Amino acid sequence: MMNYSITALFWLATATLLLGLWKRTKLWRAGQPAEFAWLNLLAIPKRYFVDLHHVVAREPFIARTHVATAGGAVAALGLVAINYGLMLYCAALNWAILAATAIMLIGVFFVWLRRRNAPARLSRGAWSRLPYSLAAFALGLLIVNLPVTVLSAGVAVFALLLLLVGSAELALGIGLGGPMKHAIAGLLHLAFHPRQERFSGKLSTALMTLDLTNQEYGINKPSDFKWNQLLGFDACVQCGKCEAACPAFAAGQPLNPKKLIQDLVLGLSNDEKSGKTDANFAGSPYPGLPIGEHSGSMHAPIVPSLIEAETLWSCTTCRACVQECPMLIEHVDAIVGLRRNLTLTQGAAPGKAPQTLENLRQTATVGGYDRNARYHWAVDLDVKTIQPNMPVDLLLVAGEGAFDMRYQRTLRALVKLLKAAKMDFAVMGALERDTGDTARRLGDEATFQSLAKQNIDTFNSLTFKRIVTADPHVMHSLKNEYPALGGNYEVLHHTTLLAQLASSGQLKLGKSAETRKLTYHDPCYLGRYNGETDAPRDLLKAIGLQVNEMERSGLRGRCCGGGGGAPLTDIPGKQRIPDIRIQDARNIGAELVAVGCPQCTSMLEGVVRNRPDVLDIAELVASVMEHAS
Amino acid sequence: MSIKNIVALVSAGRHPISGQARHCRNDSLAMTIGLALTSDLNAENANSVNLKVIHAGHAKNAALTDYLALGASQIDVIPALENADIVDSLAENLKNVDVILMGSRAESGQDSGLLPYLLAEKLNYSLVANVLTIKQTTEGIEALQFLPKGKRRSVKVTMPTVIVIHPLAPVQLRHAYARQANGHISQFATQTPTQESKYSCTVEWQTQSTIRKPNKLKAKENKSGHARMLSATVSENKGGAVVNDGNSVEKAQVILSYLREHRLINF
Ligand code: SF4
Ligand code: SF4
Repeated sequence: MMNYSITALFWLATATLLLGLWKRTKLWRAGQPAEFAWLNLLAIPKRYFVDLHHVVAREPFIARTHVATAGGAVAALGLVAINYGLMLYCAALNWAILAATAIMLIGVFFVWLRRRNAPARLSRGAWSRLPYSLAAFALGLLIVNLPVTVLSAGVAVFALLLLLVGSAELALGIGLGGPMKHAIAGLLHLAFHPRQERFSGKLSTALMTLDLTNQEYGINKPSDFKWNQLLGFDACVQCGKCEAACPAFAAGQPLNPKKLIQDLVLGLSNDEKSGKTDANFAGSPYPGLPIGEHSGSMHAPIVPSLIEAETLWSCTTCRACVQECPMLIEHVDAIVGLRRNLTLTQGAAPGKAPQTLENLRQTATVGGYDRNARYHWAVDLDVKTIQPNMPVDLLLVAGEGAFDMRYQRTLRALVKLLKAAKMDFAVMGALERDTGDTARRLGDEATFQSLAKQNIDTFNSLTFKRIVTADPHVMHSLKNEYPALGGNYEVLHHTTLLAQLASSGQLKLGKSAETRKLTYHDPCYLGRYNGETDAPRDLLKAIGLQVNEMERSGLRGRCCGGGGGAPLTDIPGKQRIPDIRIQDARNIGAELVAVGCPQCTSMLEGVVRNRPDVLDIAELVASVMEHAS
Repeated sequence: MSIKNIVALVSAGRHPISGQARHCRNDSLAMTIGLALTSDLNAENANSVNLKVIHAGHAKNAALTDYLALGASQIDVIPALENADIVDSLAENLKNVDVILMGSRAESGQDSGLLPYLLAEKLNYSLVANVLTIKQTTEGIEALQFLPKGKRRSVKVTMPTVIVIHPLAPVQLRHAYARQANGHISQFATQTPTQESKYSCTVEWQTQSTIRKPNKLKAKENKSGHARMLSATVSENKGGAVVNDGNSVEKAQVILSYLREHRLINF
């Protein structure tokens, strides 16, 4: 009797789950078509155990908890499928099920333990019931598999009820959008992830190119996302790791990447007429924006009824959220996609952004400068300016920092080092146009593409082997985003090149006389966007400086606040992002912050005294040369 | 009287540093004000008022696409013929228009800043200059005029009228690529000039370098911050003296002693 009930329950739950999945699939399919391969379903186990677990394992406690809970559950369900689903009712399998449920119960106990002292980033609401419903499932299954021949009727009914409650959580999740939705959507997301390169160990950080001639103007409503992006949003487990990493959230600006993803989930799953608001969201709100006042649906414009524009304009595109997300969700793609629509169809970028975009269109510089003046800082350094028919090894692309008197010191230091290493190099002179990086982050794909095409034409008319730049934003555009438009170059950050030259002995370095306590701030566009965290540290080590790491460093470094056009849109918050970063440096007692980016330099130097000094690595290295000579 | 036809005249600008063709900001302000007025009118009384955007020049001019991006769905280009005066060609096409909007500042090339005046004269329309905002009233339209020192003046405008927008008009320009991609630029059929222009552009232009401007003699002031603020905001508070008495020699003497007192001349 008992066995038959479980078999019935199993198939009922399976049918419910499939029905729910079918319902949810219909929602995802309202999105735009995207290329995908069914075969990737086979890659799920590898992607789960390697790529996803790689992220989860940063927090060993929760990693082990999840392994026990999910592993136990999956094993138990598999065994139940065989034993009860196929009606084998074999005693040995009962034992195996017992073991699996016991492991699961232990896992659930730790889930419960953690929920008692949950960090603020975790969502409550439906998620708070999860330890109980999972425990019900595990306990129910455990009892019915106990090796006693006769259970008292009361216990048997109780156990079946527990099992029913637990199975409901598992089976209804995907269809009703409950917490267990993450298991199904998460696994499918691993198979059909919009950035498949991520699973081949490569960085995938370039924004997708819009086909403007085909009137692709970004995301206006949820159904404008690709279907696999919608699926990705559904994978979110509301762990809030993105929230905890987000500099804009920390600064009290109205952005919370977790809430943003949940708003999109609300948008994709909401019935047009229900008018359901975000009131059910049980996590931290967007700072300063109350919950319960926004609503949206699949075919309704997202901004401003579902997400406010200022939320989108707060983002620095630092990718810290993407770096932290255990479900490999791509927040920045969503944010830039929404920005693109605002900028391209309404010209609605706030603050100084419109002026900047106009400057880029009309002068090919961010600040509206004369392009002929870009290399004025090099006038006394006897640097070659590249011309067609003048082959050089190395092309130095200075970027917008060349117009900034502070950053010119860095560039001069770099030129001196390149000369000391006897490099055959030239600058671009008046031929250099802005890469369009800022325009692209601000959603102005048209201006980006027009600048990129002009730059690619210029590069094609020149002969050089490699490009070096001191600006990671320039590097990211040229190296990662120009290929989609037909420009393929070998692009090096100046710290990478200098580290190579130093280790090969082509650049002879002494030891630095610097005695101040030093730390290094990783630029997001060098670290997370280009994976370069070693060269700057190697270089500092080569000149005898010890790097004291801040609380967040390397690939998990905290943003300076300067990326993504955020200083231009300048959305008010409670504090400024660079102040937070400088506080990180103060906390470890650093007196000197080494940087490798013009944006970081100006953001961190913009913090009022008393603060650690800010010097580019090129300046530090060049000062060693001066002492030596 | 209700408004039926609104026209915004737009000209081709150039970026002062890069020399790149671009919209003329002042005309864009005028056009944007026109667009807002049109959509207000259409919202109120469902009759479809259309804003016509007209440029006299060449349809191929790269500057025009900016106006599309800034909100014009269509730009009609009146060919600028040699020998023809654009005032004539424009006037020809601006009969029966209720409101003509344009910017007030000459920006480059052959711009003189006189076009609105010549046009109003030729068409015998009223003209309001230095306008910041316009709104429709039951009798027609009311324009808010810019006056120096933060003063503003509201004027009732009789139509048909030429309205010249001030560079400080509180308008936010919004450049959207999608509009540029969807907009049209169409050229009017070429007409033969009816008469020789009196402001002909065919004369050879001469260029010469600018002459150094004479320096204005200005007394060094030692005023407090408050006093400077007052003189910047309150027109009565300029300081100095008004001399009405005496003959011209005596008056000149006052000026001379002022200049000596402030060491602006030393003889
Ligand atoms: S988006 Fe990712 S990191 Fe953020 S809450 Fe969801 S699963 Fe966690
Ligand atoms: S990219 Fe950075 S600023 Fe933007 S949402 Fe993610 S963490 Fe926040």
